Amino acid sequence: MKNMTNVKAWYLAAGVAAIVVFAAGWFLLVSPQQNQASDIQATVDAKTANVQTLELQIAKLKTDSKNLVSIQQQASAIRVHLPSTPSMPALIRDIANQAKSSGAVLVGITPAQPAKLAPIPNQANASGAVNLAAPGQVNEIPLTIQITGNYAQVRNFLTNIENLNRSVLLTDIDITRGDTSADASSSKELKATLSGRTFMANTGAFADPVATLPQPVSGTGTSTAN
Amino acid sequence: MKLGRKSSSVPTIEAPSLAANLTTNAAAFPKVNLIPDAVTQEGKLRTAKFSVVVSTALSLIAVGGLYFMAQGQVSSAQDQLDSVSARTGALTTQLQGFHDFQAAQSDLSDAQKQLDLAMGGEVRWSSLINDISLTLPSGTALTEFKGSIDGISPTVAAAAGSQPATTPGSSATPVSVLGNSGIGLITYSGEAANYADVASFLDVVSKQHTMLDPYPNSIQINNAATQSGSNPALTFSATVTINDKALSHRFTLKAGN
Repeated sequence: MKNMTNVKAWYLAAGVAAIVVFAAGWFLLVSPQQNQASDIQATVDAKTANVQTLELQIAKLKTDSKNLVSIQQQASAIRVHLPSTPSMPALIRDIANQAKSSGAVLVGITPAQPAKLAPIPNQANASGAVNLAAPGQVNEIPLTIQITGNYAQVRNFLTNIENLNRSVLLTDIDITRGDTSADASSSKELKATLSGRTFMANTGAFADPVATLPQPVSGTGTSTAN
Repeated sequence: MKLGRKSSSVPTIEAPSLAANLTTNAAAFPKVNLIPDAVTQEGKLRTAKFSVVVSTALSLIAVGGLYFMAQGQVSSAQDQLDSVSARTGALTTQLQGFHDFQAAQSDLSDAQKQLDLAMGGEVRWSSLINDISLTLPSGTALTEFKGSIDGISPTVAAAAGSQPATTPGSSATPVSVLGNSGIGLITYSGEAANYADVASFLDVVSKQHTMLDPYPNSIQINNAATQSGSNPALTFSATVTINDKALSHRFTLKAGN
């Protein structure tokens, strides 16, 4: 009877030993290897996706790079519209030439000091100090132009200014009849005051100025000053 | 079976029946187990002890097999990783060859955004003046044309739409007399022979697709002209709001840029 118990105990021990050995082997040897394989496979998958993205990017670049010259020309043309310096002599010459070609009389040009272009007029920029040399920044030069001439001359001058290579944005325009007297020739004379701005832009990554606009003030505006 | 004689008196034994007889005879022997119980028990105990070794060995073999399979997976994955890493390196090197082109693209993109910011809100005044001069009713003449626009690029306006002005009155958005928002205002001052001509002028302005809600500010008898007996008899002024259809869009960023 005792021997029978011993036999059963040995069989039980055999089962337990098998389980223990298998479990120990699984957790100490097999599972870490599988985890390592899984980790490496995840890295492979991520890198494969990256490779596919790179391949697409390179394929697109190969196609697009044929337009390199065109892209450089477009950028250069825009840099003419928005030079990096005030280039006032060139601008004055341009305006004078356009007045001459339109037949209008250029009475005056009044430029103001350059300033950082506010994306929304009359709205202060969030940043206090104004640095005109910040990379990617657009600066404005307020400008007032006064001319005289007949209707056709004034209209032609406006057209010429709008078609200048240097960008000039006319925001305010006031055209009045020169004289209301009975003199027919003088009544056809118009006086035009054109206000607007020209620009200069720094090269570099464009910093979206909308992001620097002041955030709306919440609450009812009660003062917290002591 | 023939044994030389034609007679068939000798019995024949068929094979199946012989086998059955042998089996019956063997079962007939008594079975006696002469092995002592102690020896039998000892054998069973030895077998049981041996089973421990066998089961452990089998477990080790199974674990070893699984381990080598897992190691194979690791090795395979590592090979793939090496291959993909090499490909990534090659592609990265290839990508660096396009650095100049990417810089040019970036430069163009920045320049386009700057131009949009600066000139996106452009209105061609020459066109507006031309439109009004071509449609001015007979009997009317303008003595003053005064216009202003906010100059805000539509891209900026869209982006800043959720950021209202913090200073009261600083909003640059022009609003018509009917409360419709536009991008600018024009004030006309002029002379007309009679009230019908002023009405015709307002009709003409309202038909222009770039104008919104024209409204007369004043219509007065021109005393000086009346006294001298000459035309025009009336002076008038009117205001109209410029809508965003007047934008030239010559410098506006295209979608996707």
